[in-house]
Amino acid sequence: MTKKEMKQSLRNAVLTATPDVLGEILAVQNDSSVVEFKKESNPKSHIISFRMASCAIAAALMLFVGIFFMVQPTVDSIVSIDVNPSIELSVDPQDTVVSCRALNEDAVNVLDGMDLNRMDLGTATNLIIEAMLQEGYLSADSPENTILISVANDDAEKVQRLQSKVTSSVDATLKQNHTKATILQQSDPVTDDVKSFAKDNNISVGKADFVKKIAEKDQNLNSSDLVAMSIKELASLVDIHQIDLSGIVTTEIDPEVPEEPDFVDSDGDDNIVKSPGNESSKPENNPSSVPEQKPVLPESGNSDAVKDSGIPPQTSPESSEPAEEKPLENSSSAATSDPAGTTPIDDPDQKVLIEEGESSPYCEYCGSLLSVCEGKCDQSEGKQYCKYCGQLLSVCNGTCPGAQTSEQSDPPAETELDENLGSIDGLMITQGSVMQKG
Amino acid sequence: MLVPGNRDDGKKEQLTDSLMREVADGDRAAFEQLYRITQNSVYCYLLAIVKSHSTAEDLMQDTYLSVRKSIQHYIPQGKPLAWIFTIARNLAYMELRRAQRQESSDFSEEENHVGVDVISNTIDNLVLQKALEILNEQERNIVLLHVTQGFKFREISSLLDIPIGTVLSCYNRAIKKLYKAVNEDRAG
Repeated sequence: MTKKEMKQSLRNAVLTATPDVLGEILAVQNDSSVVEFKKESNPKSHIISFRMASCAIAAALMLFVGIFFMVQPTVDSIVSIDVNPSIELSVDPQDTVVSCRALNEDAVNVLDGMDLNRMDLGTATNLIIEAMLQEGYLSADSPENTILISVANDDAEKVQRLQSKVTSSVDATLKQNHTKATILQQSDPVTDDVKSFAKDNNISVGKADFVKKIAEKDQNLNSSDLVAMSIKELASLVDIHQIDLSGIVTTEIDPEVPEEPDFVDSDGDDNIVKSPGNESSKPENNPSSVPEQKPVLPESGNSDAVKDSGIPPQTSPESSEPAEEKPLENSSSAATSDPAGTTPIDDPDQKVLIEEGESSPYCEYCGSLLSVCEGKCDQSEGKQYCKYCGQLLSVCNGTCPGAQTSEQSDPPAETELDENLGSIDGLMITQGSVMQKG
Repeated sequence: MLVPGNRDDGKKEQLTDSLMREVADGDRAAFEQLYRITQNSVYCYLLAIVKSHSTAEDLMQDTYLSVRKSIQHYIPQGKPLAWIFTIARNLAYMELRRAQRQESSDFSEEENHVGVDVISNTIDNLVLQKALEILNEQERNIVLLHVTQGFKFREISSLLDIPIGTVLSCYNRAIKKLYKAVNEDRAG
């Protein structure tokens, strides 16, 4: 076979073998064969696109969740305020109220229309107490107002700070509304048991903790029965059963009578008297502040009344300074009583008091506070003592036989005595007001 | 570009960009004309790659379907056959890869289909079988396109993107190799 024959054979073979597929191609209307090729590659691209879409969705979800939790405020502490309305405030680390829960119908009534979110804890407490006063859950006429303030936080220092913040806010609100109240404070960590008990009975965790503590102290009491009681009733129950709550709750009493000037205020917070464990503030435990006793001591109950009043005498250095310095100054009342007697008038407030005709809180003879002097000083060179019986004119009051005899025989002496009595009567009135403060 | 025409009349018809445009416009007659002009060349090209008549036939059908579908994307550059060859080559390689994954890529077993089923002449069948057996892919392409379809070496160089010198030397070497093999087989 030559090369030419070989090429011809090859040409013939190929031309013979060439198929005619035109009919099949034209029969395919929708190019299904081509679509099949694409279908082979499509699953892969679909898988890739599905994976990419899944990753994108997951990333978007994580971003969304992250942003959601970043925006969500963090609850750091839970503050419960219980009277009968039970209100629970969730507070973030910046002492801002994150959420507010009304735990009974009374609380719903108190919080009606009130939005405390994003508000400072002190302001929120102020609004809550004012609302309670307006709704009548706290009353200026009631001496048995009781408020339970509970703070739950793991950090003891923070608990103390929040307690003082809430308490001072409550105290300021009560003071503005001339209301007295007993404030119970507790700050123990909230256990799961207490939380579940609070949840089951729909009360605040603070009240739940308080109720469980009372029930633990007195086995005769059932905590489930105590749940329905208000804080005032619980406090009364504690008194009746003589349950010792020292070390469990701290009690603060607001005894202030707002109308009267609080001249014994030494630290700006005298309106709260810490009843348990604060006996040292009573006057008898501060003998150093009591002035030297005079030879003739009156047997009247005035002194005891002052001691029992619960008002601490002036003991701090700041408040005792005027008692030591002001006798050296001339007073406007010295002309009527004793030239040597001095009343401090440099104090603008004091001048106002004198101009308005009110009694000075200072002794016109010794310059000490009347609550300290108690009319026992002898800066008047003996003129305040009865010249017949030797007792203080405030004690004698012209009732001794010598004075009565002199009154009949010596009119000028009577005039002098009356003048003295007049000045002492004024002093007595002042003292009376001091004593009434207790 | 001038390509070998219909085998029946031996006339050379032109495959031009205007014809491609007519096909793109949906002219069925134009598509039939395109098919008639190129069917032998496309089959030769596919057979040289896959060495299997049945596979080349399937790929030929897919190629024309793909041409019909994708002709809208054809950019006239004066080389319509080269564009069709590109489609055919891609489909052929895709099929080879698929077959390779299925571990049935040895098309040599199917080579007998060419001679036995289609080619009645024994000598023609023998020459074609030897060409598919002993020549490599490049040699098969050059020999088949030049001998059976009448492409000039310059056109083959352009179609296959092979230097003209390589095409010439490759063709001469392949013809000698095939001639020797065919004669040895006939003598044996």
